[in-house]
Amino acid sequence: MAVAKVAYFPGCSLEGFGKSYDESAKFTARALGVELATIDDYSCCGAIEAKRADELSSYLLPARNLALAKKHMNADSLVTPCNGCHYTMRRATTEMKKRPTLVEDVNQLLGEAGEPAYDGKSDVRHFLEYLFNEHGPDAVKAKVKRPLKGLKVVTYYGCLYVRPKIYSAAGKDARHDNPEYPVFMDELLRAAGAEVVEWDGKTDCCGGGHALGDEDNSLKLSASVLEQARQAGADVLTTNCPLCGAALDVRYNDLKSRFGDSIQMPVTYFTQLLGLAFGGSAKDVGLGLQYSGASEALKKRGVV
Amino acid sequence: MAVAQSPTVVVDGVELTGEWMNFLPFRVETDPFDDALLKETMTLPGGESLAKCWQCGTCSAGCTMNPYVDGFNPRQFIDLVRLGDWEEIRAKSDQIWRCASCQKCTHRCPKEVNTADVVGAITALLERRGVYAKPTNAEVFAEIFMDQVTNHGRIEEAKMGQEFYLKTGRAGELAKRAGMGMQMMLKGQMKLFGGAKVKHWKGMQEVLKRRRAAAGGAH
Ligand code: SF4
Ligand code: SF4
Repeated sequence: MAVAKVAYFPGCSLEGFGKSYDESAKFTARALGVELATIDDYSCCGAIEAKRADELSSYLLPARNLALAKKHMNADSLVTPCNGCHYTMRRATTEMKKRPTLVEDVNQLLGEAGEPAYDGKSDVRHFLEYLFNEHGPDAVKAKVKRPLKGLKVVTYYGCLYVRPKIYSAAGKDARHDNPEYPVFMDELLRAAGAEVVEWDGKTDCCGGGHALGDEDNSLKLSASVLEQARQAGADVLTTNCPLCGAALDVRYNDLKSRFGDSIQMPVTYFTQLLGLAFGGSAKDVGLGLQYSGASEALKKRGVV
Repeated sequence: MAVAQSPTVVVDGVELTGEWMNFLPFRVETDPFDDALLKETMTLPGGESLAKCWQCGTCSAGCTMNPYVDGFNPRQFIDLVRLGDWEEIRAKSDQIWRCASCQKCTHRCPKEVNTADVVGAITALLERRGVYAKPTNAEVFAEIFMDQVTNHGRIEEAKMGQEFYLKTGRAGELAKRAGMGMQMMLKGQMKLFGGAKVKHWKGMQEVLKRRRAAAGGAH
């Protein structure tokens, strides 16, 4: 099978807490005939902290990665599975397109740092959006070996996949997801046989950004997401954001000891569910790296 | 015809003058007005779009932190800055920095105000004017984050956590959480030897250092 290459920007989180997302994204892509080729020597996108420190640095950091993808891979767009990186880089490219002098300023700095210049054109796509547009539910359906039959899922998109629309372009056309009630994950998972449960928490905030800064409120926000998912009657919650994954899953024991059984809800990445449906093993999709009992819940439904 | 001179105006049995006289002085706030506050906020990164706000309240209606933090109200923060009401802004200093950066406000604003960034700019204003006795947790976090990016090019999440607890004087809590750290290492999610370094980074490091120094302050 011909393998298509995609310039892949994992971001820092997928090397850390989001490792299972990274592994399962690569597995899922491979099953669809795509290689997620990591951009060589990529660096942090700057997240929301860079703009606090210095406005221009918040464009410089994304531009370096876009320029590397262009130089080494001739890629006009790079794909990231992280909502945080997606927001930061779309913000940068949107602003740079609006204000061409920014590109000049950024290239001046890139030149001083001995880095390649940014062409001011190449852009960023979320891995979910990429999967939906370039492959879509039909391609998923065709690859399913073990349907996710009987598995009740709530899809959790978090904040920065659709928000804010001035950067994400959510709702602009059919290639972009709905700005208030996104559905791309729903459709891909339905194609894999899952029962997607409707709920109101899809784009709630998990509080992950202030996991350290304002821990008390941050935990309350995460608990609210898990509680709603539980009330909706889901077997598992699934997400497309490593920062939400870290907030909800890595902190699971903290949450459980503070809020008790009302927040009991196994957390997965949507690529783990797709990977399993494509015939992957628990190991292939890093299921053992989840803290919130995903393996057990999926076993109970016969998905692994 | 002689003009009737009367200290009161009564229409249909309702005395109006006195009501208005009582009403007007409260409606017009002139004392605390200081447009330096507005000007300063608008020059801070993210504050540029503040003036476009028409006070519709869409941002506050959907704001994530509003139900969790008493008095957290982005529409009102903007209003207070425009009124130049420094005392009120200062009184809300412990609320304002708690913005979760969820972007609901910016997403929905009908006037294309970048509301989340404006709230960030107001926080920066409070920091700049020295309102916080010690740096807010958000400020400490941002500084550690940018130190890591500047020095290594990438972030190590677990290490961020460690440094944060040490810098905020909560080493005891860190020890309590070491259990979680161990669990993570065993699961292979935490890099053991600081592998998250970018190879070609010296030049970028110099540039970032210079930019941060020029922006003023350590962060
Ligand atoms: S939504 Fe926009 S215009 Fe309305 S109050 Fe908030 S910032 Fe102002
Ligand atoms: S970004 Fe901040 S101010 Fe805006 S809605 Fe979210 S918590 Fe509220």
